[in-house]
Amino acid sequence: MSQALDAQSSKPQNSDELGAGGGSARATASAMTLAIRILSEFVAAVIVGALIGWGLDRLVGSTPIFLIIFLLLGAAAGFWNVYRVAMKPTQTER
Amino acid sequence: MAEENAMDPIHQFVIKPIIDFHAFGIDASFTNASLFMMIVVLSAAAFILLGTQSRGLVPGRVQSLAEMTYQFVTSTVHMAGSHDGMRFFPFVFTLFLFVLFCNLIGLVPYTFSVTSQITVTAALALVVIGIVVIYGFLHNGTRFLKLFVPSGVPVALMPLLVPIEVISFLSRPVSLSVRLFANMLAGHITLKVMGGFVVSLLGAGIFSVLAPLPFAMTVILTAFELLVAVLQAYVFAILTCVYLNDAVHPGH
Repeated sequence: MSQALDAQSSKPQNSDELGAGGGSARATASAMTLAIRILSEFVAAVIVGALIGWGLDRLVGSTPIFLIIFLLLGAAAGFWNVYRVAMKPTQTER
Repeated sequence: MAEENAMDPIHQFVIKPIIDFHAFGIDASFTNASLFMMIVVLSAAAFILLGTQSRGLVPGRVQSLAEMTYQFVTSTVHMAGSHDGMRFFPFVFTLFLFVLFCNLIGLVPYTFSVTSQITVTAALALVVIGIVVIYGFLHNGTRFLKLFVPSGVPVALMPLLVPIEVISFLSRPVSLSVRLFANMLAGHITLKVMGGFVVSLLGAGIFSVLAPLPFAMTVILTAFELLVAVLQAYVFAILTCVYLNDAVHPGH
């Protein structure tokens, strides 16, 4: 996975060497896009897990149990999302 | 009061009703957001109509821009999925143009950026995910549920993995909408704060010599925001393609 991330982070730098002038801003922007994408994929899964757990607790009335379980599942789903983003470089970068 | 407004970076996102309209207890007023959404749709339509009008063998400026946009989205659709993905091309192209024009028009001073409202981006993301679910069930039937069952995994692990896959799927519209919304919101706030620094430094006596610094930053950030605007529209479009591809071919 770290190799895949390295391959992705080196890609914008290569295009930076080709393009003069505004190239570095472009590389920064696409690197930031990737970073924000990975961050949002992770955070979104945790939030969705927490919401499902909270909702189930409200329905069943077993206050902390489902919240804890689904928070952990959400974190796992977040890692899974990040893994998927990192392992499919062709779908995130041109 | 006017000074307070100038320094308040959130003030630009306030929704003001232009024409009040309340029907059946629902506030359906025509607001500045609706106005700019209409401007966005009209300008995107005008862009494509103007670009396809002349149909010259040697394209003019607008025509080549329109053709480049078309080619760009076509290659995006092809890259994300197989040829089956082309049936979604009109949807993806519309979505891409709408988000792109929202982001770009929002960068013009005194305009309202529609995509910095989470309701708008969430509505777009829900349309995407709704199409994925509906088309997935219509096209594949119950085989669509294979999306949530990873292949080649022992049955004992299924109770753990299926909820993870379901949460992962449900997190898609959340991340899709929050990413676009947060990028546009943060970018516009940063621009406004930097602009505010210029104004307050100019009015601070001897410190006004420092005013060019935040001004240069504003110029750099504007260029950066232009890139972010295009990139986020691109990311939105390509993720739509990736998710739609899941609807056509469930099961990894």
